[in-house]
Amino acid sequence: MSVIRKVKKKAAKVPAKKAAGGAKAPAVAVNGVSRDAVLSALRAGIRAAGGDVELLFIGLHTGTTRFAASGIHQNMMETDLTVTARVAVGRKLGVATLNSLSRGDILSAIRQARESAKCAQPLREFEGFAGRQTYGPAPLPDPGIVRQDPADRAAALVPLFATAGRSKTELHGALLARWTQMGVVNSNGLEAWHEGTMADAQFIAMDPGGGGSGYAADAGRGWGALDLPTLAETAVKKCVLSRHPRDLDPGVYEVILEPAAVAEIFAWLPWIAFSGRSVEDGASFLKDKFGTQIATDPVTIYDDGLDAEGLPLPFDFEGRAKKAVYFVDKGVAREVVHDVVSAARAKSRPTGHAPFPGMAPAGAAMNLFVASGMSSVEEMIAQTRRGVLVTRFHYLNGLLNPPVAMFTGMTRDGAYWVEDGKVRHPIRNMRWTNSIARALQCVELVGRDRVVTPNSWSPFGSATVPALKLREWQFDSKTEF
Amino acid sequence: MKPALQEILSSLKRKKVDYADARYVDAMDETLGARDGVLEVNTRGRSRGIGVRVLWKGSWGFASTGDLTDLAVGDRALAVAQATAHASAPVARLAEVEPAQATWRTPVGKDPFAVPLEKKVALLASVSAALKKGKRIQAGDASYSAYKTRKIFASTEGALIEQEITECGGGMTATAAGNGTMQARSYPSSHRGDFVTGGWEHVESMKLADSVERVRDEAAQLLDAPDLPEGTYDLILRGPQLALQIHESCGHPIELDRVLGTEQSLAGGSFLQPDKLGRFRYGSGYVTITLDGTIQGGLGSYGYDDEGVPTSRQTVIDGGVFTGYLTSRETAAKMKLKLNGAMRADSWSRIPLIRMMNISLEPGTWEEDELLADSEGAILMDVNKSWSIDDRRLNFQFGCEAAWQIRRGKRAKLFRNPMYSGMTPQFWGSCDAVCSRPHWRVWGVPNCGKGIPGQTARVGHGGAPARFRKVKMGASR
Repeated sequence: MSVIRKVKKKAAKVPAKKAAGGAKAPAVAVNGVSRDAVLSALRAGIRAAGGDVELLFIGLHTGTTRFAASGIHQNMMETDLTVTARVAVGRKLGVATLNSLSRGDILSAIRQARESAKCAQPLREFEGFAGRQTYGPAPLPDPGIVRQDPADRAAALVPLFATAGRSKTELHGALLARWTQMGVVNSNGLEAWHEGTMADAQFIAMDPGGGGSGYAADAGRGWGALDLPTLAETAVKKCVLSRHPRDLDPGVYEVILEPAAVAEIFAWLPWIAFSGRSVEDGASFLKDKFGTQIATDPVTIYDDGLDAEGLPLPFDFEGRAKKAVYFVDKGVAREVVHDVVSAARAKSRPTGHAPFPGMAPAGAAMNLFVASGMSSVEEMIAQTRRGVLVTRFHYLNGLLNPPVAMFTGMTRDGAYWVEDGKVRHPIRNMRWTNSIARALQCVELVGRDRVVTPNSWSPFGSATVPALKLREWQFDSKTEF
Repeated sequence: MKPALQEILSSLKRKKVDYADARYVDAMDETLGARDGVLEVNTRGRSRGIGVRVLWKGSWGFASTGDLTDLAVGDRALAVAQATAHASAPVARLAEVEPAQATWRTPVGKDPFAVPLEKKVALLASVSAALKKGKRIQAGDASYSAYKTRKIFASTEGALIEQEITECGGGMTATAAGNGTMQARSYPSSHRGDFVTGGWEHVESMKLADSVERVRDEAAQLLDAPDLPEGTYDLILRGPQLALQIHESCGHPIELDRVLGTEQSLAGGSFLQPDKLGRFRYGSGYVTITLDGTIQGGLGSYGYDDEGVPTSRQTVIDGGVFTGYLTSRETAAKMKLKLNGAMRADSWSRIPLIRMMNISLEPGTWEEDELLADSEGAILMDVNKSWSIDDRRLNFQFGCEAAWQIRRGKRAKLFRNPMYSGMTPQFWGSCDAVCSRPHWRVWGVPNCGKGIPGQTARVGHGGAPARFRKVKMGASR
């Protein structure tokens, strides 16, 4: 069963569609603002306010089409422009955010942040705002996303609904297009600007009324990076293959985690293990392990804001240039990410990973990668004696026991029993509970193809990860479907 | 902003839309967080904008803008609906609702935004510093957040509703490290604390300083406590953990959009399918669960939802039998069910979804000391640490900060890393005792996620200590 396809670089051609009733589909304008206009407004605000000030601009232009049972049910066009002022009074910090670029509102945000800062205690590790930076190259935004039109997304979906129907399945999911503008200016003369785009496609194929379900998803900087028909076909194929599941007794089995499942795990690790704060708190399983072998040789995990295979972001929320940081390099624990305060506490250097202003000092890894290996999923299946092939997880939680990265979760949308190198039959969904710190010591094979999975709960951040084969995975219990 | 909303809607009416509504939202927020006596989080925000929802020939479109002069946002919402109508799941009709002309405001004792910042900072700094003073305490954290949301809702049907909703809450956590582990205790709840609709008086009523010693001592004691041995025990749930159990295993599965498959892509579906309504035994006869947006102080309390439907009280589990859903105008019409005012968006920029208000386990008849005296050997858990449930809301697992075994009617032996698991109907079917009204209160859950793009709702859950028989438990080592 071919469950993973490398589908990049194949353009998803979407015809210009006419609206119902025969009229030409209306263009839905996206209200972006220019780099010059934003930076000029931020500079003027800092000049007028004086003192130690940092201004962060974020412009989000998001178009989302959600569908269920092979019909669109939500269409949304969202534009929001915010300015966040961070003001230092000595080592005291205050933050205020407004969604306006007007001079009056920017000054009001600075004033409010300054008043708040005066009430704070000095944060002794704060060494001031960043100085001027040199940034690495980042790709230009995709014009198809900047000019996004919901008619294009609908036009792309119509034939896929028909494809699903031919297999007596229905498609659920979402197509999301986002153009992000981000600028930072501070009173130390730092100026930073980045524009990025993202196309995100998620397909679940389901039997009407229950039964089987299958999933496929991918993301990239534009629709041209995604092959929507192949994704939909993969979801449908998985759905068909998941019909009539059998029970599997709880126990320890080999497991093949497809990229969507791996990405779920790696959505948690930046917070509980890869930040300066998590080490400071004793929550990270990397604490006291730096320089030692904590995973098998094929495991390399890193953050790189400039890697164009993901969704690049060349600087952090305070404008500091992002450094590539290797958390685990060929199985050896190396370092974690820091902002300026967490770096000082760890007697380290900031790595360009400051979280959004106002969050606790930490270090936020938002461009996460697991290095590719040599294996296809088919080769992993062929090398499995008794194990489970997992499409994705649901409701994964990594807070059970952070120092050992104890996680629990459920399988979802396609779990299959593999025996003697072949997929034998689908199984009912299973709950698992495993220490990810231990699981990294069980990785035998790493996939050669990686899939980009954007952060579900923030417009920033992604994990670009391959499939993994592990020699042991604890399944605790089953569910009814 | 009323004239602007009316202008948007008048223009859409002239373009013969089936229906449209426009929401102006002015949302203020404030979050403070102190660690070990020093303020680390010190933020204020304000976000204003307009969201317009249009139904055109059975197809929905939504557009939003933060530019309050951008009245073309209505045209963009219409254009979105028109552009995708040929591929849409058509909306046959919306359930009838009387277009309200109304105002509603959260009763507030002390407006949290008017309380001097110095006073709030002083409380959090002193509490977090005191937590840190405990032996083996790695960090003491205390935090508070407040939200004030002014909304104007108008529709082409003639509704015009103004609301001001104020929410406030906080809490504290002591994190201890040693003996090869890290353990935390929180008060009154974990994951940012406990929240209500109301003012600063709620934070004052927590009396954080009075609980510092107990919280830091319990965190340190957990370092040396044994793991909860694997086995089957009777379970007493109370406080915020009972609230989260209700949230995940009852609140979410009764969301009718999820039931009908429209949230499948992120949050999954529900085992409570329509053929079960009115006949499925969800729990024991001791289990009656209500939805109620009218409870004063509940974090899910408000006047009207973001479709202009008044919030209400309904029974959704009646003596163990499943009897009701959270609905929207669209889903209520489709299933011929009652409206209950459950459609909410988390900002002006997002479309409303079916969200919980206050979903509560109704009180029973037991006194808490009688329940403990009658539960020899049972395990008691109260504050959440981790949560997980399958995509139809059946197989769940929860971890808690601490557990105690009950001996002679008292909390006796302390265990660390406790977790319990089960299947929703069997679990609620094993409930054989719920404590009485004096032990009942509403807990706020400030971080309920749903939708694409993700939205965060603030909801409430009432409950009194309850007992569940023969529950599978163990430890997350």
